Amino acid sequence: MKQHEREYFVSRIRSGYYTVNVNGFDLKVYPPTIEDELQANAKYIEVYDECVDEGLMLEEDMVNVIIKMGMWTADKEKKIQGLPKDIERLNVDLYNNRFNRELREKMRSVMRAGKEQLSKLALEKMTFRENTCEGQAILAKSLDLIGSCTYLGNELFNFNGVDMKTVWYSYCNMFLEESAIRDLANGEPWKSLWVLSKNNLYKLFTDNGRELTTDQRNIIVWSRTYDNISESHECPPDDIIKDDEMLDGWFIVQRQKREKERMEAEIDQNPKLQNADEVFVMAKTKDDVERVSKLNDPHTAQVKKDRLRVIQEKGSAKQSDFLDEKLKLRQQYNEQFKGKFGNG
Amino acid sequence: MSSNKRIFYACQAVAIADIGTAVYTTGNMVHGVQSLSTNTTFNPEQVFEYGQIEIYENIEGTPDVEVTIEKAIDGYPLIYHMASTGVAGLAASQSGLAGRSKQQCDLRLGIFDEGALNVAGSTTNGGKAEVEVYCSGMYIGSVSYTIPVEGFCTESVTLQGNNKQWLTGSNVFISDTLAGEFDGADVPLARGDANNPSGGVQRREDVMLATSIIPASVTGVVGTGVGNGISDGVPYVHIQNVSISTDFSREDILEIGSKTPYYRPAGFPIEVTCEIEAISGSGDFVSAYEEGNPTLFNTTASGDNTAEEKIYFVLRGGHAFDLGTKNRLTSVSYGGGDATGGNVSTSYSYTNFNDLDVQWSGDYIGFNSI
Repeated sequence: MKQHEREYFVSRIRSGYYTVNVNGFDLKVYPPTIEDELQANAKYIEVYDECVDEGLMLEEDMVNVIIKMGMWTADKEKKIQGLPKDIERLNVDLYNNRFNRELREKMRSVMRAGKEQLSKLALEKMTFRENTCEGQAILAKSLDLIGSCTYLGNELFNFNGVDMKTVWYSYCNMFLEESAIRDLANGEPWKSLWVLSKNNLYKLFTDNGRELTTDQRNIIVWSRTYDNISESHECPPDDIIKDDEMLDGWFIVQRQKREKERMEAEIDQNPKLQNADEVFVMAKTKDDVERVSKLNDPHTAQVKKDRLRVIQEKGSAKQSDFLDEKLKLRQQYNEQFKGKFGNG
Repeated sequence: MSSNKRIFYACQAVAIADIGTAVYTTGNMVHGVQSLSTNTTFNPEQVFEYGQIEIYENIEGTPDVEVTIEKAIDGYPLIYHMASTGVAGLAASQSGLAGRSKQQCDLRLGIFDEGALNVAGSTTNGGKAEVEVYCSGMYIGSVSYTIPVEGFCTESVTLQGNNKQWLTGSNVFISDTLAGEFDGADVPLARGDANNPSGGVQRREDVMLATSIIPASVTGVVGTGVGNGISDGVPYVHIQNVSISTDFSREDILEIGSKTPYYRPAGFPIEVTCEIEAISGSGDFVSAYEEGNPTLFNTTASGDNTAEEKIYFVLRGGHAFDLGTKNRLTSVSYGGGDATGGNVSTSYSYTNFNDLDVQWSGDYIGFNSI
C-alpha cells in the first residue's frame, strides 16, 4: 500500500463512518449505538424464531440438504473442512523453511492457491446460507442496522425507493481486508498515533457515542498483537513480522509449543511418567490421538516412525531391534568404557 | 518437566491376562486406564583382558521391563486383581498379599489405527490393533491406591518383567471384537442402576465411612470398631486424602543354564503403608513419652507410645482395602495454617507388614475376611 493510500485509510478509520454513494447521494453509514445493537439482535431472534416455526432448515442441516439436492458435493465439503488444516501446515512449513528462499516461495504459492480455493468454496457455500434460519435472521439484523445507522447529512436516511440490500452490500465491501489492516497497523502514520494514544495523549477516533467500526476493532486488535509480539521473549526478526504469511506460521508454531508444554505439564503431574522411556496416553477420539502425537518432538516422532518400520518388517520386534535402543545401548557401553579408565 | 526424551503413543486398549493365556476375552480388557508408561533397561556389562585396552566383549544382561499403569477406580476389576488371577480357585487364605505376590501375568497394549473414532471402529489390520506391545511373565512390582478429596480415586500398579515385544499383523491379539466395549458408549461399571447407584468413578463421597474403620489414633475418631469415623451421617473427622501403597521389592533369582531369572520373589516382609491426612480442629493429640504412653501400660503395647490399630476403607463401587489389625503409627506431622490463611492439617503415617487385602464385592468383602 502506498503512503497516500495509508493516510486515506487511517483517516477513514478514525472518522468512524463509511461513505456509500447511492443514486448520487453520499450516505454516511455509522457503527451502531448499543441501543441500535440491542434492537438489531432482538430482530435476529424474532426472525430466527419465525423461520424455525415455518420449518426453514437450520444451518447445521444445510450441508446434508444441499448435498442431497445435488447443489453441493461431499467432496467439496471434505475440501472445505480439510483446506484450513493444509493451509495451517503450509504456514508452519513456510516459517520453518524461512532460510531456504526457493522452497519457501514454492510453499507460499501453493498456500496462496489453497487460500484462493478455500475462499471460492466458502463463497459458493455461503450463497446457500441465505436459505437457512440463521441466514434469514442475519440478513434481517443487518438491514435493521443499516436502517438505523445510515444518514444523509445529519438526518437519518429515508429508504423509500432505495434498496437497503444495495446499501448493505456496498457498506460491507468497504471493510478493509485483513492484509490491509495489518499493513496499516504495522506502518505510518498509524504506528505513531497508536503510541501516542497509549498514555491518553492522543484521541484515536472521533467519538460519535457509538460502537467501534469493524475496521477500528480490527486495527486495535492487530496493533495490540504487534505490541505483544515485540514484547515476546521469542520475538521474531522484523522481516518475519512484516511478512504476514510467515508471521502466521510463527503464531501457529508458538501456539503448538504452548499446547505441547501444557499437555506435558499435565502428564508430568504423575511423577511416575516423568522418567519413562515410553508413555502411552489413553486416546479415545481422533482429536485425542492427534494431541498425543503432537507431544512428540521431531526427533521422537522420527523414532516412532523408524520403530513402526522395524515392527512391520519383522512382524514381531524386540525392544533391542530398534535403532534408537541400539544407539542407547552403545552409549551405555561407551560410558562404562570411559568409567572403567577413570574418565567417566 | 521431564528432561529425558520420552516417546508418546496414543494407546487405545490395555489387556491383562494370566501368564500364557492363549485366548483373550473381553474380560481381559482393562477399563478406566488413565496413563501407562514403560521403561526398559538392558543392563550392559563389559569384559576386558590383559594385553589390550579395547573391550574384550560387551555382554548384554537380561533386560528389565517395567510398566506402570494408572487407572480410575470405577467398579471394573482392579489391575492388581487382573494381574494375579492365578489365585482364582485357591482358598481365601491363599489369595491375600502373599498369594498374589507369586502370580505372573501377560500384558498387551493396543495401538489402533489413528483414523478411527474409537477402538471398535478400527478397520486397519483386519480390525486388530495396528501395533501391539506384548510384555510376558510380568510380576506385580508395586501397588498404590489414592482416595483424594479432589479428583477421583486411582489405582497405580507397576509390573516388572524381562520380556517385551512389539507385534503387528497376525501376531496381534487385541482386536475390535475383543475391545468391542470401547465403542464410544463405555461407562463405568460402578454407575449401577437407578435402584442401586454405586457412584460411577469413585470420588470422596463414595467412601463408606459407616462401614470403614479409621485408626483410633486419628484425632476425633470414636472407638476402634466399624463405623468409628461417623455418627448419624456426620463424620467425626474431616479426612482429606488417603493413600495406601506397597512395594514388593523383588529380587532376581538366577540359575545356571538360563539367562533369565527363574523366579523373582517378593522381598518379604513386605511393608504396607497408609497415609491419612485430616483437617485439624485442635491438634494431633499424639503423645510421645520416653517411657512409653502410660495409657498403654496395662496392654500388650506396654512401654510403647503407639498401639496396633485397624484400618479398613470401603468404597461404594464395591472395592475395599483391608490393612488388618496390626498397623502402627510411624509418624505424625502437623502443618499448614500459614499466614495466608491455609488450613492446619495432620498427616498420619501407618505401616504394617504383609497385610493388604484388596477386596471387591463379587469375591468377599468385610473386615478381616481372610
